[in-house]
Amino acid sequence: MTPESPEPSQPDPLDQYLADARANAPDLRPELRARIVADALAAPVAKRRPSATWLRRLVAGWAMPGLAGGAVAALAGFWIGVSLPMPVVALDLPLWLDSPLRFIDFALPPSGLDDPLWLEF
Amino acid sequence: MPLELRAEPDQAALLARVAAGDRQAAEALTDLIAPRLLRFAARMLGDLAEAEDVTQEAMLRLWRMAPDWQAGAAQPSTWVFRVASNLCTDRLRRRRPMQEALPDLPDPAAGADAGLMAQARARALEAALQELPERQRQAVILRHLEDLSNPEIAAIMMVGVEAVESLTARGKRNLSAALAGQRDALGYDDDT
Repeated sequence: MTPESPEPSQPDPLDQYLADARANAPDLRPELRARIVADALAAPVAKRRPSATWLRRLVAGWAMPGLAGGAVAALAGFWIGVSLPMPVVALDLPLWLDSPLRFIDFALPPSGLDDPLWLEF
Repeated sequence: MPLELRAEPDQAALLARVAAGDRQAAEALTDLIAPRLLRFAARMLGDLAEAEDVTQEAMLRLWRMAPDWQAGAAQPSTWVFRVASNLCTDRLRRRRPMQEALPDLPDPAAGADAGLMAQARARALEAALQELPERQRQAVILRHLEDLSNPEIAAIMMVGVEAVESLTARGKRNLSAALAGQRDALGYDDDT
């Protein structure tokens, strides 16, 4: 059995167009080349001026999240100090007495009960 | 030009030297990349003056990246092609839609010079390229006119290799259809 010889493939006319386009491509003008090289010698020097690298490190690391957390905590503390939220006000109520001499329990009265003094404890 | 630049230039090493102010490295990298960028931009935009602006702008961005370039990242040429591609896209979007007229062709029967015919065919292809959708045009130019590999094109266009293959195949089909009516005028026989 003889192997079949593959049919010769038809040349694609588009390939000739592409070859002509490659051969007729625009060249880089010497003036443009000189401008690009001049840019190269100017740009990195400008970049090397004292830059905000410390700021970049600050933003990139944990410093910013840490500062943000601290600021939120400070604001929360300020808010608690200025307008006492309900649970903290409740702590100011008379404490439960375990014995006549000891105040031991800081727990709030069970839900549904009012001020213990009003209930004549 | 030093021998090592002619043989297998390490673009990242050249870029590092550019960052240190080495003029020779800047010239070598410019000669390596800028002509290809210019051809690519000229074919994308169909306008040489605009293509020169894009080339200079893309190279300038490369120079600005030079001090921070990390070894092992993408090749500088791949990166700068991506920049040029984005710049071309920006300019194309700013333009008003316009229909490129196909150029006048010399008459082969009148004994037009072979060089003239080749130029006319090149112009006809450039005009037909302008009619392609932008992504197809980009893929065809990079693959068939700049001879980049499919993985390189995929990195520039930020798509998969299969998408590149599909774009180039569709682009070639559309180009062939656009040029089909001109083959006789451009000196081609249908049976070749």
